Amino acid sequence: MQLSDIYATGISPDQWFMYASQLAMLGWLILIFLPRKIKLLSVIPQYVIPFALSLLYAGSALTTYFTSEGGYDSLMGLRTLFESDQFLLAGWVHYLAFDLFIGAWIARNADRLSISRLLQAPILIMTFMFGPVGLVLFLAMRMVLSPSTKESENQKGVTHA
Amino acid sequence: MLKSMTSFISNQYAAVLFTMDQDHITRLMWMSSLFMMAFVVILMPAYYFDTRLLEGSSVWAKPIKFSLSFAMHFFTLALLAQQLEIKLRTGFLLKLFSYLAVGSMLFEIIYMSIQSGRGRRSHYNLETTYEMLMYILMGVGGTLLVTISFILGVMIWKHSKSKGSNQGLFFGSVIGLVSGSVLTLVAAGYMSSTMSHLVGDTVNNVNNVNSVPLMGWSRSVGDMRISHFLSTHLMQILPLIGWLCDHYRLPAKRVVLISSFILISISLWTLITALLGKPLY
Repeated sequence: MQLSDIYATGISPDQWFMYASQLAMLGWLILIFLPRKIKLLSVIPQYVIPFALSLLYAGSALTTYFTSEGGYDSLMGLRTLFESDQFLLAGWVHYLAFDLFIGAWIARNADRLSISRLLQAPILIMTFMFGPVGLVLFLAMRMVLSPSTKESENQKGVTHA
Repeated sequence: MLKSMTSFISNQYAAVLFTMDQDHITRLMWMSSLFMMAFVVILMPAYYFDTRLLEGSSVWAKPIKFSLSFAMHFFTLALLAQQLEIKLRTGFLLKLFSYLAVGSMLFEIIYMSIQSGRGRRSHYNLETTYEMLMYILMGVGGTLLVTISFILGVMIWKHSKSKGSNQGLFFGSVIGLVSGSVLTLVAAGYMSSTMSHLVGDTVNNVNNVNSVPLMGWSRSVGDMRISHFLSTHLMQILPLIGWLCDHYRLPAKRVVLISSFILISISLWTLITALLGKPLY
């Protein structure tokens, strides 16, 4: 029996990958499509799912990092690290957790700036697909608004006719 | 309290010559403009890292140029829509066509960028069924993008609140938006019907070697994009001329009408020159 089979209560990295991806996907669907007025619906993608994914990360990364030949010091070291399926899973779950957390942060701030959900959707999809690209897209938009504008807009300056 | 708050917010935009209201349609257009500016920011690194060329220029040149012009388009719409009463601006007609235009903008820029990343053409591409379908949809999107400016122009003409006080801005906006939208549709429509923006001996000009710097317009054959560019930017130039006339107390109506005549003539002249297959210079 291989290490990967007994790894984490008999669930293989492949299966963990599926579970993690589906969980993250659920968070993204909530962020992109569901209303923001219900508090619970914003707590799930902002905290609950990233928290759960981070626990999975801890489980897979901490158990493999110290026994691997590789390290974070060079691209070669990284390649060696990611040769093991467990660490590859950890790396992917890291993306999923952080991207979703950032996505939820973007959604919250975009709501405060009264950015239409139609425009939020591509920013969030971009964050989902290419994390930092979506972040830069939102930060660049936000940069243009002066700090005083942002603050006053927090206190519902926008009139919805 | 609330009143002083809203005036405080409007004052934030004084730096851009006009003050803007905070209704959701203004906000939608202004944020669309910001979105497109931000899009340029994420395309620039790709432009510098990527060495692939498409028809002689970087694969990313097209989405960058379109992002910039979409940003300008929606910023113009947001500013000029301020001439309408808030009730009309957020009314059914403008609301419907604003959302359709923003949706079209997103569709166009995202599809164009994906095609750039794949190193394939987005316009005039009938190579696969998918690309043909998307090209047709881009035509629909493009039409919706000038429909909103046309409607806004007509609405300002009928209902502007600054008709009496700011004649320059009023005439500039109406003529600029209406003629700009119509002439853009004519130029773009012609290009799509012939499946090229070039007219003439295009076989020897495939890589567009001899072209105008930055804009990439052909200097060997007729290029419809020149007229497209001038026509589309009538929407900015004419209102700006009008606004300057109001500001400096010049005879606004006369100046705007004369400059409209000159600028529309130039854009028609470049259209005809291109149709004859001749380069501009």
